[in-house]
Amino acid sequence: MAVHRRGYREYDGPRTPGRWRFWILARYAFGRVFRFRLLVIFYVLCFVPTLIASSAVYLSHHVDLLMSLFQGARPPDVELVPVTAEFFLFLMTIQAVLSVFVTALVGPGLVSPDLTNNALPLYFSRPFSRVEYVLGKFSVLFVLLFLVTGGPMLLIYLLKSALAGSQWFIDNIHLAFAILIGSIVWVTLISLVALASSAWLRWRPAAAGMLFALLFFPTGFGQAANEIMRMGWGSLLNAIVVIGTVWNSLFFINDAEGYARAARALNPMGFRTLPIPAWSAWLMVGSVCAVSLLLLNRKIRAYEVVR
Amino acid sequence: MIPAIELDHLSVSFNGRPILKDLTGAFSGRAIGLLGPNGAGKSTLIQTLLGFHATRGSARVLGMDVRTQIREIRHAIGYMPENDSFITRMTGIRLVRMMAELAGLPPADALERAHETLFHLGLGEARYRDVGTYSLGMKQMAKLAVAVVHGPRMLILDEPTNGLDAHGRKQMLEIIREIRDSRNTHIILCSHLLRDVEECCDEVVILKDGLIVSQCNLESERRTNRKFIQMETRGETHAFLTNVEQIGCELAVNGNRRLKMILPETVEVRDLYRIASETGVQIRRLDYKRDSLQDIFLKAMEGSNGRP
Repeated sequence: MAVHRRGYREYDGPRTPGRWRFWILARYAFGRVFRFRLLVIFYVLCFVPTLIASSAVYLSHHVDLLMSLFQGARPPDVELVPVTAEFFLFLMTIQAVLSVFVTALVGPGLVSPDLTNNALPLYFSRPFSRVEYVLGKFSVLFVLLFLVTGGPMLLIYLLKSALAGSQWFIDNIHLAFAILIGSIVWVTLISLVALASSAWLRWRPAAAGMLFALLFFPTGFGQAANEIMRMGWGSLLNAIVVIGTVWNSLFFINDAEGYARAARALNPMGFRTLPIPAWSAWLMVGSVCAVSLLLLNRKIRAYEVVR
Repeated sequence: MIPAIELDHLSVSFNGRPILKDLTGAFSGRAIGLLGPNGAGKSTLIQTLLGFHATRGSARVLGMDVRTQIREIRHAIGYMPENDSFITRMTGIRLVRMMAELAGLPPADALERAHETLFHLGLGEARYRDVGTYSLGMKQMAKLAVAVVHGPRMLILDEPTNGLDAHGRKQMLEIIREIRDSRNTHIILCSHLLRDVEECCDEVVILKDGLIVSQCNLESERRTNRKFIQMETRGETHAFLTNVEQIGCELAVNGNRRLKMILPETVEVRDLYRIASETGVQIRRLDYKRDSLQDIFLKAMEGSNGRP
């Protein structure tokens, strides 16, 4: 019978397993996200730095090709683009900055419209829990952001391995782990903060503004605290220092010189920052994630109980 | 038969304020009406059955415990909330399809059922429009579509005719009745409109201040009402009354010509006409003494010693 002639009937067919049901939310969200042309253009532009970096890595292994472009130039004695921890740290910083803008464009539209339009009872009256809801929304940001941070950098790592040989791959395997874990930590942190601000601020521009405010306002307070109280712990409020310290610990950049180099890479504006212990940075990241989850737990409910 | 809903000393409190107080009962009707004044706890009871609130005591839906089997219950339930509930920037078809998928339907089945549900509810032409652009009546139908797309065994409707014009209301009630009469679906209809409940439900639960103040089976009430007769006669009634009493009717004479009587099971109204004809009495008016849902509701409100 034609679909438009059918009446009400019960459903006796198969059911999908509940384990991956959160992905339905992500699937539909991707469909909506990529309808915005501006976002698509910006998202594509996010791959430009890694494209340039991968081109540089490729050319550094094909100097003859480079020489043919600049006729008369003398081949360099050293490797053109040394693919080291600092190289990846610098690239990761650029990609992390771009990922903040992607988050600001996508994040506020994930939770706040559901709260504004009272959509949560629709979700939670189905076999779909609050945890699955948060996981579904989180996975949207996680996938989008990982694809512009960790994903392309791991590809550069593989490109370098292909060009330099399997020994380089083995000798520098810690870099791959650092890229993977470092980008997962960053993406998780910023995704949870974005979801929490989207849940608490129902106006999308305000939620986007809050994301930037949370990243940069505490930095000022931290700097002021450092200057007034002559201590270094205020840097814990500096998102760049905190995440930079976490990445340093992953890339094994612990010595003072390494820190200075990394700090220059992470802090091109030249603000005075003081090093903080790696454990405190990890603790800070964990705390921010935990607080974001608590805030989401308070807001993501089928019904708001009016006190 | 497993009752549709069983409550066993069910209590719900918000911030220490009791909303549902020690509710106990079993409701087995095919369509159960939840009635009560504003703030009686109707919506809270519905939300509790959906597992939205922490409870004391227990509640079972279709034999499943709300606390331990909430996922199974949600598979079996379709819920239409009272307020506007939709996902912004989504077409009707995408919204209904997504909700079907979240209820566990595979994507292809979800798409097919979304199309057929929207056609069935009169939104076929508007299914590719953004839900945000729908009129109030269309939004109500879209909410109903979301509630029924996965073919639930129980449909919970919270004020389904809110904001609908006469035509929309009639259409909505027809669909509810159709679903009720389909194979095996229970309906819980929460409304403050007594006529809606009367037209669709066979069992009514009346709540007030978080308590169940009345529970009645409308079908048996209707059957009972058929045996209560009010009558106005003209002519000498002595012989008529004697004969009527002889066939087992209970009588109450109110003035000379007005009679009230309760017919036994074996006596039909046509027997009264026959006796009237034999005894030369004219029956000028005959009416069932109808104890309407409104009477039941008002009695429940008065009986509970509170404000109506």
